[in-house]
Amino acid sequence: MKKTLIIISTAFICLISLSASAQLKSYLGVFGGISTPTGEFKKADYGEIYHENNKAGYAKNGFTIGVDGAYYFYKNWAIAGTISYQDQGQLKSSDVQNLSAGYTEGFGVDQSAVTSSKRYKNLNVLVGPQYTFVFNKLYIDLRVNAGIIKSFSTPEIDVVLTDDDKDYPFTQHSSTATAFAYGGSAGLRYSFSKCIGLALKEIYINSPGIKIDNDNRNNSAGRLVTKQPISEFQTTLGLTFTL
Amino acid sequence: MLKLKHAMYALLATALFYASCSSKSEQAVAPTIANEQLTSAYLKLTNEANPSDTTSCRYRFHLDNNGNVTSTDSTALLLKANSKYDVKVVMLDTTQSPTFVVSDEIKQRQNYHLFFLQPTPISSANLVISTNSPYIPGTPTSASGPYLNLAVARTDQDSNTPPLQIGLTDLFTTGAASTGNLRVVLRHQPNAKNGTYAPGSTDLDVNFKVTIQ
Repeated sequence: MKKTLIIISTAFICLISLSASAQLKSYLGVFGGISTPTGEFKKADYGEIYHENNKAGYAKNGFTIGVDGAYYFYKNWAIAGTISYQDQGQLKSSDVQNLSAGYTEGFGVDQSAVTSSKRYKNLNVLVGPQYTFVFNKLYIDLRVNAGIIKSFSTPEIDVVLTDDDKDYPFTQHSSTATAFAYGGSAGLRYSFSKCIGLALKEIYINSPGIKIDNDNRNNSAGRLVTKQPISEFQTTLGLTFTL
Repeated sequence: MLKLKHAMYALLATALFYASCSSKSEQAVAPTIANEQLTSAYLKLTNEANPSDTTSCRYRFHLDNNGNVTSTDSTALLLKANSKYDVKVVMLDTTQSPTFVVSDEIKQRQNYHLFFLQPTPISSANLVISTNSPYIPGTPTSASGPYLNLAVARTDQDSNTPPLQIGLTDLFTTGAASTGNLRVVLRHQPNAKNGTYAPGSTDLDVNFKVTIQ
């Protein structure tokens, strides 16, 4: 184990020293790509009675677009930032059926009618240090970052429990909350010319959760989402413009 | 002539008493809780002053092969005067093997179930209705008695915020010797439990004869 660590550390230091150069030029870029939910955000599972999954997001594969840039302040080191917009879809009919079955069992009622509207739409603003390895016209950017995730909407879920011909409605509201987010990325940039390059990037973003409001939840029973964790992997392709 | 009159009054009173009892004993409704059949409901009591002094009563539903109630029977509750009893409500589905304890299911679903236990006859002064009262609003009261000298209080709480009572465990406090009835109602109040009787529907509604001696 110790030997492996030494080898990896040595290789990393060699890579840095090999790729170290004069101060790199800052750049701005635009990108688009696919955004794939992970973890609890992706789960489409009500859970079991008494062990409801109050964090399952039922999020779907979606897209992301944004702007990205890095300001090099010392050789290969930069302060980098990304502003991106994501759409992670909405609940499918199978999700609604899954929720309906869960609420019916969870409250021991005759039936539950679940309807859902609105989508997961949010904006990420993330800033952090970036180190760039340079191999001729090829650049490898490694970045860690932190910032905020601003939700424009999340699925709104209306539930009507029906038991003995009586209705008991409640609502999980769409959220426009803002929450802390962090992540990292690894990217490849290829310079076509002094000004323009092509960037391929893999990004990971995670947020402990945005606040979700609920109406008319009177008893502690059934699935109740008050905070929705968001995590996603994004694969993007973009153009960069050297400043 | 006077004796005949007294005998007529006694006969009339007896007839009225039995008529009231028989109508109450038919109050059992669809005994299904969270898709579990309910075939028996017990009150199991322990005298606080003497734990070896236990008593109980039972209400039983007889079901046909389709799960429909064909008949019911019950046993009476005998209590000592001027005593306190710790009470446990036990409900069973004896059609399953092993017997399924429905009251354990109710304990798990405590946040939307609430028991009401109503002694009768009761005076209007004693029929106190509040979020902590196990008494049933609208229960007919008697102006002159004789009353069933039994006071009921629930002793358990659920995990709602703030906690609400459940009624799976209770405290019975008896007074002087008397007779009457005890109505036990389980209300199913999905996302509507607030301590009162009104919201929801009835999962169980049974009646026991009570003698305090």
